[in-house]
Amino acid sequence: MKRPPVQQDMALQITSMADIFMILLVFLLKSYSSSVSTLSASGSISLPSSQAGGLAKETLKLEIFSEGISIDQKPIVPLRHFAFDPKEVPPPGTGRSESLYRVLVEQRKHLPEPNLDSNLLLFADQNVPYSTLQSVLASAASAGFVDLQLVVVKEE
Amino acid sequence: MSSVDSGSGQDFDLNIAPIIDCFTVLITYLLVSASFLSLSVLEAGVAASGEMAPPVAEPAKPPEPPLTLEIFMKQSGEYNIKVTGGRQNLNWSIPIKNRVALSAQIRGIVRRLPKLKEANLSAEPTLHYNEMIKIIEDLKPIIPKVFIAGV
Repeated sequence: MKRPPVQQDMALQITSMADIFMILLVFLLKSYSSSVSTLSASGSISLPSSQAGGLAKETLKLEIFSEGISIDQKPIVPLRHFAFDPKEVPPPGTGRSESLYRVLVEQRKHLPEPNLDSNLLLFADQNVPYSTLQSVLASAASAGFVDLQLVVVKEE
Repeated sequence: MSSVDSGSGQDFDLNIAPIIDCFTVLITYLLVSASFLSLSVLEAGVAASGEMAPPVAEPAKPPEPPLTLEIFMKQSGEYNIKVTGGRQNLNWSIPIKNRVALSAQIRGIVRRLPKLKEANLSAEPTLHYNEMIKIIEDLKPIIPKVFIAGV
């Protein structure tokens, strides 16, 4: 037996939907502001993961990825598969990179407290070899950046 | 909520459809741009060699050589620990097979030498950065200050 169709006016309750959206928006805006804005790596970096770690201090940001090194998002030195050009860092490739050193010295002058701030926020790809890291650290140490903040992805 | 009766006796409805539209756009933008990765930092120092500062005054007796712990990481997953200096002028060199044994060994060394507060980490040139991060993570609860050899 077929039931006759019931004539009903369907009204979408958008008031409750607005409430849900409001809560979602507040939550997203809060999480957006609390995730430290400076801690955002370039897409091409695969950061190492770690269970330990603390909060970062806002300071100069140095990134090491497969194709180069950048400071505060500006490319400084090109790399070839994480390795320095032999002209930039002579073999065995563990010494100081002059280009990087000069930029770091210049950047240091623009810090709020150039003589006191020795922190450097390091975003390095997990596949960076120690030889490249050593050159970067040698350049950073020469420019006065001796306190490193190694950025990692926190494992839950 | 949407109907308001003003004092003049006029009824008007608040049109919340455009608000919903704005919310939808905002939420979509925030969801797309939000990073759901939680990033944190591990603190380390750069160990760089250089000339020592001259002594301010002539010491009465020769100063105690500083107690240092050096960890050398090999590509094979093995390690070599070197402990030097201190009052007894130590010169230990300990080969270690794996990461678990390394943590246990360093724990034992720190128990025997409570003055040891720093570790210096170096590695073979081809060793990857994530391997160093794992060791720094292991060392952090045992030794307060970890340095990466930069020169």
